[in-house]
Amino acid sequence: MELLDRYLEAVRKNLPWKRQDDILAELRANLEAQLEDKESALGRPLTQEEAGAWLKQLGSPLQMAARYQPQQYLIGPALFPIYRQVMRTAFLWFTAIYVVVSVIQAAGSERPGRALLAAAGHLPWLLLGVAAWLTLGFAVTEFAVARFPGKLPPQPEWSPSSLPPLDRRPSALKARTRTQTIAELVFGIAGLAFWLLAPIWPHILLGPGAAYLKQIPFAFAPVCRTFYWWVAAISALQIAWRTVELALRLWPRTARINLVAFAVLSLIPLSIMLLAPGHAYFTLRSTANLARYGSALASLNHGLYVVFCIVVAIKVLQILCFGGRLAANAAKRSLARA
Amino acid sequence: MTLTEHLFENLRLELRRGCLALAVLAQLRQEHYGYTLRKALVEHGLEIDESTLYPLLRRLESQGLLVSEWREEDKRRKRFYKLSGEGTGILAQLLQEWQTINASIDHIL
Repeated sequence: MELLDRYLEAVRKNLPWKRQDDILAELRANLEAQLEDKESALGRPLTQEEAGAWLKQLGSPLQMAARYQPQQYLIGPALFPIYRQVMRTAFLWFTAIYVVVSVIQAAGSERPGRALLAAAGHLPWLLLGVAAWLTLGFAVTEFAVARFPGKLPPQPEWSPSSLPPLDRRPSALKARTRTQTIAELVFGIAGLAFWLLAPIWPHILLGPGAAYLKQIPFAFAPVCRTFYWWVAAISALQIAWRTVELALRLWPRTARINLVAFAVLSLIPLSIMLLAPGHAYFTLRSTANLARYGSALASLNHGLYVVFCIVVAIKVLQILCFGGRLAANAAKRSLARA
Repeated sequence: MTLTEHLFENLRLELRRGCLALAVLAQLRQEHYGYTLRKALVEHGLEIDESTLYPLLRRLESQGLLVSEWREEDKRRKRFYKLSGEGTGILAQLLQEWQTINASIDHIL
């Protein structure tokens, strides 16, 4: 039957090449026997439509051939959880190292802003490359595991005693992980770089809108410079502290100190802004524009003053809440001891 | 196909997968080639697609549970399968497991 021959030929194209002939001979014998049965039951050969319906019932040639493939997946269920974990860790470490290297390179280049933007643009493609290589590595491992099950080294035995202890403290007080501390360090460096580069390259903050900066009639008041350097100094201190935490392995025990110390430190630049003489955060570039922009300037400065009041109030409340929670926990502990 | 139907279909396929291997091993205590094996299973009420059965035979053979040979019958060369020595032992263990599971489910129901 021509249709069956065509079907088998289509199946052949997708069979494992080493066993093509053998599989096809067996499949042909089985299908021809089935065809004979069908035709003897009907007492006549199958019509073209009936043959088509029968072959359709068998499944497409691609589906039929796929069932003969020894492996139907790239990474199987046994390896997949490890693959996902390795992929996550690799992404995090790669991004961390890339950010540090890019910031250092950008700092040494003639146009740091542009260099940082270019580095950010490359990152997704590099991550895609990392993902592709990892996937390939795991696919090869899966292939090897499927082909040589007894010849690969056994997986290390898992022990319940290696499980980390339960941490029932509120999330703000929980011990940080090393990865979390590294992430904080990397994002701290990136944030500081951004903060320091923004005045030199306002494009990284405002994009094309930076061109309009020179045309606006307002300029930063001297207090903003003080605020700017305080924020930079606190960020640099945070980076230095994170480095010490990582070097001395302090990260699991320093969550509380960090929370209190940096919340209190952040009050310094905020207080400087709050106590700025006349709450003047912006001034006019030229006093000749006083009549025209005077009221707008007053509104702008007043609005910023209100914003700083709200931010300081939130910070103070956070510090008080945290202090209260610490005191409550200490009281609970002493009661439990009693 | 609704979500419930899809879910049922997936669970049904999972349930059938192991049972089919067991049924094929049990049926191959007597020698068969692919088509007559399929007919025998259907006669016992177990429908099985060709695209599932024939590759399954190959897999069970590559695992050493079946042995096969090409032989001519009715002027046509056919590949006949039967249970190997190792397959006989595995079948006995699987049947015991099957009976235990069956009894447990009956007990639960």
